[in-house]
Amino acid sequence: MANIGKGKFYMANTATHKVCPICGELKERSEYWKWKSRQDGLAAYCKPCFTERNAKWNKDNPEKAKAASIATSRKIKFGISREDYEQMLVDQNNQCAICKKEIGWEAAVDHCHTTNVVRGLLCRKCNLGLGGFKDNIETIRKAIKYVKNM
Amino acid sequence: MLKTCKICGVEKNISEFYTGRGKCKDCINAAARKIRVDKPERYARYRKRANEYLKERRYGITQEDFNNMLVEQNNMCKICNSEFKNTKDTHIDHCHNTNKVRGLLCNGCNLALGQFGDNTDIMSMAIKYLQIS
Repeated sequence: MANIGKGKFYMANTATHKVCPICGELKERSEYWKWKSRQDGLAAYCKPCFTERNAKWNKDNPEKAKAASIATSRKIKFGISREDYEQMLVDQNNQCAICKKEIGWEAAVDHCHTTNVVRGLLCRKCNLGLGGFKDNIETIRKAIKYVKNM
Repeated sequence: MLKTCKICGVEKNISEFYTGRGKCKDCINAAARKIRVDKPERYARYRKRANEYLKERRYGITQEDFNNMLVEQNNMCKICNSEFKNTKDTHIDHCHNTNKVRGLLCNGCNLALGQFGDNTDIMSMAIKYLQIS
């Protein structure tokens, strides 16, 4: 406890222990999540306080939380950051690339299933439709004939 | 209002019974669940009858019509020509304006037609989109 100074409250106090500023308890290093970019390599608050704080923020800002979670999943699945996504929306005039319906934050990211290259942003329905026909041009041609014949 | 169940003998509120039945909902459902596990053959017979009823009610075709259609299409999807492995793979496709049955499709083709709304213009746009990229 000797190293606690004003303004340094969030830093690790000793080599093995640190005080959580929310609950005010002295806890071991293993009770904090790792955080590489911080000076002491630990998150500011202990694990239970951290999750509680996050849950409260998510509850208070439902729209921001939803957008953030979708952005993260896009980053993991397709390697597209939030700026990339917004740029793609501007390039397509906020329209689905196939049916020209208006799209926004909820658009689906269409990708080729053999090469994994991102092709563009589609509305949910067009993306599902392409998936149903397995991205096969011949199949779609047959489908057009099938619908017209009836 | 209270009523005693014939099987478990417990006095229950009337909302716990199907109308006009002496057994409570829990006992009836438990018996049905038991048949499903203990006598799979009988359960399959129930399901078959229910499926035939639904085909007739939803699309106006009998089981015979369905079998004839299967033979006509060589047990294949009418659009992508993929083979049906069992009866669960077949989907009866119908026109949403005239309610007329058009044919038997696989899951993917039936779903995709629905998503594109049977709209040939959008589908030709989709072909262009795939060709460009």
